[in-house]
Amino acid sequence: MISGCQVYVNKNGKYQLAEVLGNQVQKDETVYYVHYVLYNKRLDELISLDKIDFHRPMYPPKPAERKEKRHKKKSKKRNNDVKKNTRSTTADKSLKEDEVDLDNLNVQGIIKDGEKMSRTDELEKLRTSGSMMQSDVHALARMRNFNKVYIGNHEVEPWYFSPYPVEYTEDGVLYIDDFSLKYFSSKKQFERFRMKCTLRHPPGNEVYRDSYVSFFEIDGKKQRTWCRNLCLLSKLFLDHKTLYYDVDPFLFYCMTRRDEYGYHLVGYFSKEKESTDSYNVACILTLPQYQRHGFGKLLIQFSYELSKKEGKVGSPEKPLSDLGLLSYRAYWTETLVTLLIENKLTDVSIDEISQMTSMTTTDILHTLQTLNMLKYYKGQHIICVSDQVSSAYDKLHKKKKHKLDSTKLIWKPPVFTAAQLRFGW
Amino acid sequence: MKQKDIPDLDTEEQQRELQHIETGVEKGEEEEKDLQAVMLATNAKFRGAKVQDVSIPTPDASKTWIDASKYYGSKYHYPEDYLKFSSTVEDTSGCQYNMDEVDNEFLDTYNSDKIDRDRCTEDEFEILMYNFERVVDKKQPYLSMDPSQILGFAEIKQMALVQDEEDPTFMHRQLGNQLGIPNFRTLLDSELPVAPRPLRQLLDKFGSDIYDHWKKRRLNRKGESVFAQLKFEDPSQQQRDDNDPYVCFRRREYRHARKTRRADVQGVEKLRLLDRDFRTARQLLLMVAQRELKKQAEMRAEWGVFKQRCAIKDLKRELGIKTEDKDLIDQKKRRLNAFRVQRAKEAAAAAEKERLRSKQKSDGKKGHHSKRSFAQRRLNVPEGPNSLTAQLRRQQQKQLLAQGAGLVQESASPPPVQPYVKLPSAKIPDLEMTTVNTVLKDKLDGIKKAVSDRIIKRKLQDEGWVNFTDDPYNPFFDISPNGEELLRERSHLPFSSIASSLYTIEDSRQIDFSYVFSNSKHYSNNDNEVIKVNAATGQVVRNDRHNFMPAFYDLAGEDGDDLEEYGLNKGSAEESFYEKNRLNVSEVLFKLRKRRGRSGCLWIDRKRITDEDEYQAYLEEMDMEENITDSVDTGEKRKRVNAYDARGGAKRRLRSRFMFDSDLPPFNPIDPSRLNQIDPQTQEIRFGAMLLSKAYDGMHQIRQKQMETYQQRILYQQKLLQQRRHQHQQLQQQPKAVELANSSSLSSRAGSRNYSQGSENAQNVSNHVNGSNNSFAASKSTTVNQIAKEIV
Repeated sequence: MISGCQVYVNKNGKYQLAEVLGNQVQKDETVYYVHYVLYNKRLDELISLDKIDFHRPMYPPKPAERKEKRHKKKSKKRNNDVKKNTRSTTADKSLKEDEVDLDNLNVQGIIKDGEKMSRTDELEKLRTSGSMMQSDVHALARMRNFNKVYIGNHEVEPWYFSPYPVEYTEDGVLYIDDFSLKYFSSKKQFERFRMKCTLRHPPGNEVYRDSYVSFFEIDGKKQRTWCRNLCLLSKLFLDHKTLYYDVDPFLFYCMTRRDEYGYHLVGYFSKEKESTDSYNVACILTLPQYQRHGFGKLLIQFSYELSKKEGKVGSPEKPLSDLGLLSYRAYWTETLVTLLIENKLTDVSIDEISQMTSMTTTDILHTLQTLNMLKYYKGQHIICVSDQVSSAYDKLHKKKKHKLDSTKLIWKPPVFTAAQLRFGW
Repeated sequence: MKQKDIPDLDTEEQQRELQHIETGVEKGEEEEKDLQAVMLATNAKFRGAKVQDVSIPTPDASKTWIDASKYYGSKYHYPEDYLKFSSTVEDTSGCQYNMDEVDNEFLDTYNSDKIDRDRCTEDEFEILMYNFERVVDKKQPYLSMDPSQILGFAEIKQMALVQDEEDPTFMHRQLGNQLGIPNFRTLLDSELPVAPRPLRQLLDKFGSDIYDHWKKRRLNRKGESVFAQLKFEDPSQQQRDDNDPYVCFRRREYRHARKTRRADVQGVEKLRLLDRDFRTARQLLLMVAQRELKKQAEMRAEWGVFKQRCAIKDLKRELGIKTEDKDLIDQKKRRLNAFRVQRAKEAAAAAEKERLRSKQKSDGKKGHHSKRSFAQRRLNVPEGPNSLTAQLRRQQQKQLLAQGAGLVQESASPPPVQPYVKLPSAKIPDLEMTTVNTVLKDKLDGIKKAVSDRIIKRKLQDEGWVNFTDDPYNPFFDISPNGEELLRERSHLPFSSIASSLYTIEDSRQIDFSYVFSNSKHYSNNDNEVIKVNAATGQVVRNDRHNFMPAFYDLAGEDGDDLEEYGLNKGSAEESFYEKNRLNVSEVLFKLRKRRGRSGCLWIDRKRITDEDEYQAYLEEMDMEENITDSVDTGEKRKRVNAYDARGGAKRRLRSRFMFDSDLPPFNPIDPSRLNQIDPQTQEIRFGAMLLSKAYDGMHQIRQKQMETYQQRILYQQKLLQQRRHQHQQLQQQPKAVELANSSSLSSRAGSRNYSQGSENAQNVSNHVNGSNNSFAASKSTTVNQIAKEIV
């Protein structure tokens, strides 16, 4: 079995197409790390050989250059005519490969250079824009490198690769201190550290506090260790986060919950100190153990509260993850619908909404479109609160979710000098 | 809008499919099935379909770790306020080496054959390991190239004992020494059960054994540090290791600013200042720390005193001693200088002895008890000026000279008066403290007063003059959205710039202009002194003191000779005309018309709105009069009346000229600022600035001179006038008194400096008028009288 080939795998009784990414030996048995095609990478897993159905068709690895095209084609064709297709594609492929070879023979160097260029371009973009996203990843980074993480009193399964020291991956278990986010693979070390560590909250200034949550603002440049630890941790759950560059150009806003032991990190978002693309969020994450409790929405709300205080409109940095998109859409929907219904606004433009909510007009338009609220009526576009939307609002309103109180935000937008915004050191 | 408000939405709806919505998710991932399912579900929900809740499956995170409570034990005390914190993880986590299972095993076996003080604790072990690591990382950063070159124990020991200023433990020790705290610990350090011994001692005791263990571990790692670190960019490598996914947190390279001597100097200077600031801050903090230590000591002492007193009280109660409890209560505390302390102490000691003696007498039986209690009490008495408690007392005592003096009455010497002695709060006289704010406010008030004084003074100087600069033209529009039908009349709208716009203006006569004026603060410094000018006639309105324009601005007055006739020849028609036009507001009396003239030139014509009848009558009267004078004045002027010489004609021409001319001469040579072709806006500002300047005074003097010459001329004209009047009276005895009154009032207005003469004139005139039996003229004259008085 070579990595890169695609096979059908028995998953919970269903056969699903999966790409083999790698293999390892566990207890004298080879297990394979597979990625289910058309499913998120967080569902990737190790399977034993007997899960693979060798009666169904298998696809050999494809040349890297054609990946994009193949991907699209693949999504169209389905099981019934797979065989035929396979043959045709393989035939196709060999032909194409020949072509490619010819091409490569002729202009090998140039193409390689071109590829390199695009990579350096991307890095350049990373450097200048301060982006925390990186799309192109190494094959090694496609595989999860930890099986289990202990944070506080939670035991969590990581979703993605994270560049903790490679030696730590041997056990696949990570102990992470709830407060300093320091990581250990040795339990004894963790124990020793816990005895000595007195930190009980994110090491920055509390900018918001209510009965439910607290927010801390942390400067990546001043708290390098902590922010690096945070990034490493969040990389376990964010696919597109990159740790290529250091944390200096970011401010981290950390949401915590309090108990008798201290402030426990629930989620955070990072924000560029100076965003050229008017992003108000770079990375945003609710730790998995706190997910599905509405914390994501609080984080998003907080990011917009900050933008309101700055008097700017903002949007999260793209690409969004699938969960990110859903959270943002939910927040946007809720905000817009609440605004429109509660304030009984009748004569309001998208721009005015944008002013009120600090959301960009594009985000507002997209939300309205997904809500099917933008109608064409008597020669102009109107925002129409449909019955479904109002009923959804009523339902939402009954839930009584916690909301942030903007008066409890004690925060001035931090100002940085030009020298402080040069992040080399 | 709500859907139910638009019932016809669906029927009329021509919904367009807008462009595909950008999700912001990566293309490849957008197609993922779970995401698609959820998005479809939400879509369907908002389009009215009933769907089940779908969600994206994520790996399990719901398990809890039972062992966690072992590691997270101690409680945390929350601050009341929002937390402020700047210490780093390293600051708060003690020794940076954390021993693992391997170390633990080693240490256990190492300690197994030792007892108590010979054992190496885990903390001490970590300190040693940390120091080995620290020294080698510093001295041999590239040890991994050739691990065999690792430093020997002797070398490491030597270097480890060199104080490292960056090392927090070193800093702790130093601070501890400075403040006299043997075991210096900050809030960020955890409480260790046993304080570790100093490094030197540890190195001597366990160093070599633990060094061997450490060396083995280090060499096992091929010279890398014992525990794996994050992989950073290797600066020694030329090529960037972009492809290693474990390399993270690279430095961002940026172009360095070019080095110049100046930048260097600036940098050095900044560093110097920074260094100084830090030193000062450090000094301050040290002093604060020392103060707090003193406070702590004081608290301890007080606590000791309190406990002793409790003991005494108990003893007293037990033994039934009933003496006064004076020494159980804190005496009023006083600040005393050393001398006085001594004195007081001596006095107190004497008193104590006295008391003791008497007590011994009274409590003879219980002598030994009281001796004991006295010994105990002795502790409470300050032992001397140099003792700790006395120092503390002195420090905290807030004291008053008066009471101090009262106390020292016992001692013979009068207290020396100290200039720096603090008065008790009760004795401080109730002086009102002036704050910076009040001082500033006073200053501001002074300036304001100076300005307003100047303005008043200026107003007096300007008596009889119209200040156009103070009277900005305030157009008032009732702007309301209009329909198409109103646009037709646009050409009749009074303001040309507006005429081309989409706003309508109501008939100017219907607009209540009083609103504009009464609301305009600009005017209302002192309302009755405001001068208003009728825009159409150039006539002064409202303020009856200034009934007429000064000749300086008078259109008719441009020709001096004209005036002479003007005063004479006013008829009743004119009178009534002015009476009619004497409006309370500077009403717009004309319409504007835009028209395209020859060669595409744009003209703006003016047309009066008011009725022309009376003016017409006035003109006709003038014509008549002219005829009469012509007929009477046979002797002197017998030539035919030229159409251009006729005064009526002149008036008509003047009037028609109004249609196309501006009200004021376009260029006023007297105003110096105009000479520089400064635009009116800046000029306003400059004028304002000028008010307080010498230049304005100078200009004013020039103007006054001009005025005087002009008055001279008027006086001359008046003489002439009187002569003529006599002639006229002879010829026609009846009608002209009114004009006379008017003309004289004009003259009185024209020369403010000359009021005495003006009033004289007016008096004369009024006499005349009284003489003639014209009731209207009489009433007029009274007003003239009033004016004259006012002027005086």
